[in-house]
Amino acid sequence: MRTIPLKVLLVATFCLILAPSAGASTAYNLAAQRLDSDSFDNYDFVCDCVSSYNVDQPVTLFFANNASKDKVYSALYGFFPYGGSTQSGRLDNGFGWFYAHTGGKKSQPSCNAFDTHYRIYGDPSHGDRMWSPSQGYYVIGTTHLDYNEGPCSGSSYYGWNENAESSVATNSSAIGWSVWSNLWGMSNANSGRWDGCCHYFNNDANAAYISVP
Amino acid sequence: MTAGRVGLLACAVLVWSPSTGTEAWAAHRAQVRPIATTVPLVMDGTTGKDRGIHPAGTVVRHITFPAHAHQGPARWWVMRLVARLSIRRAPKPSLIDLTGFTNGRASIQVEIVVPARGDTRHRVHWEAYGWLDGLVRRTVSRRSFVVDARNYLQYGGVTPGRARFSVQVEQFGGRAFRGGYLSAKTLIVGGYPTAASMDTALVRSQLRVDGRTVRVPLAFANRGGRAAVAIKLKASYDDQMLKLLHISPRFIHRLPAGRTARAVATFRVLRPGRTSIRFGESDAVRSSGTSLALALPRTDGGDSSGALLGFLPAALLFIAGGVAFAVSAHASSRRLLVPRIGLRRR
Repeated sequence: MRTIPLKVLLVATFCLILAPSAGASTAYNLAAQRLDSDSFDNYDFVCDCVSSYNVDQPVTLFFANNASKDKVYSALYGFFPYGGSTQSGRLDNGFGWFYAHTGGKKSQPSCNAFDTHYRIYGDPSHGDRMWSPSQGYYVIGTTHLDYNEGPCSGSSYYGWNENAESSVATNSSAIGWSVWSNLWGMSNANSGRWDGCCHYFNNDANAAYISVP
Repeated sequence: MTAGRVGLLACAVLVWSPSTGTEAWAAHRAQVRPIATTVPLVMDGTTGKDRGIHPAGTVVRHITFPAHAHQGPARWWVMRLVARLSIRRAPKPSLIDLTGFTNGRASIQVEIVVPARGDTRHRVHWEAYGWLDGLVRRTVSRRSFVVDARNYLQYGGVTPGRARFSVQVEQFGGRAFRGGYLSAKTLIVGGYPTAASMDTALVRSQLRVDGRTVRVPLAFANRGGRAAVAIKLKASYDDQMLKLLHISPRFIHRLPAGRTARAVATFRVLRPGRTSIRFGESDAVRSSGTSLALALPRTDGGDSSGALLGFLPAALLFIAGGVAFAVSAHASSRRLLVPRIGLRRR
């Protein structure tokens, strides 16, 4: 009889260790992407806890040449002025892996409607950007749509990553940046699947490539 | 040190040493001067459609790279961008981007962050990031200040013959940019990229080898003409015989010229025998590296095979215990079941 509380404690500890973080989703193709001497993961995470069970959204944007996180947010501020919850991107600048954090930017949230939310990740110790001799100053980004967000009645949903990618790409094109849709292979395709009640993953494996002048 | 190495070092010092100034850069043959005199930096046009973007002002010049020029190990091309900027705080925070390009490929991006007027908590600062100097961040206390940054050109930024050099100013948010000019010190130079020359040496007097671990103290001396930055220490070894536990410190952020840093590498011995270890630094730093030949003694049960042998009896005992428990549990359950079955039969 004395061993029962111990067993419960052990089981509870195992569950705690194995359980994904709150709000996390599952990826079946989480993988590091290589670029020159740099690397980055093809999903972002709900915490500084790299795991297939702790992902948030797939990487669907690649801003190259003359990009930085602040520059992209500032330049697209007219379309995406609102902030969002902070998530973690994981990158390697050739000297080791690190996490970058951002809440991202989004269009106006409203009830019974979609808004576009994107997050940009660079090296926080280098001014929130990366540099490589083949791509110049670059940052990566994740995208998703939020539905019925805010103090609304009914359930909220999120996902539809490809649609959100198109929205950011279209607006980038509108301010004169060169956009190649679905150019950069990220090996993170999700052909329409629900994760839990509310997260609908839907993206091809190719990120939009946006050359920032 | 060979004569060739001395020549390369002299070349590196000549090209890269900031203390030698513009004259040293000018003395190098493979260089391109995009402007002869200062060129004003201005903002063109008007505010763009309430999106907080102010149109860019761009300086464009045509330059000529030598025949067969390309970006690579044979000759790395670097841009040095020097500009004097004048700013004033606006009602809204402002981000000013000053970028130097060749063939439209960004080489240097300098971000100037200007807090809003009345914001006394934050100060104006600029920061540039490149592979030569890492992040350079300067706080600015005057309205007019000099930005001096450098970085490699992109692969696509170097083409033989005629090319396009441009410098662009962009402004986001508040209108803080008042004006400025591009200095004639701005130039593009091709040379050997080594910023420093690292001599790696063993501190043999402190080398420790026993049956379980090998502890290798190392000394890194910067014999180059300028500071080495972002030095990552690496070790090459036979992973059948050794396992690297740690190098401490693994990463040296900055080592000024003429200075020495120390580190210790610790390995676990997996197998006895003769082996060698090679130490060096990341490719970003010119390094001779060093090698160490070792005779690893027989381990005192601390190697992996010994650990496995020690582990096996415990594992077998555990499995045997589990089997015994299962058998006894099964037997006891049968003892309980048989009478019941017997009763039913009756």
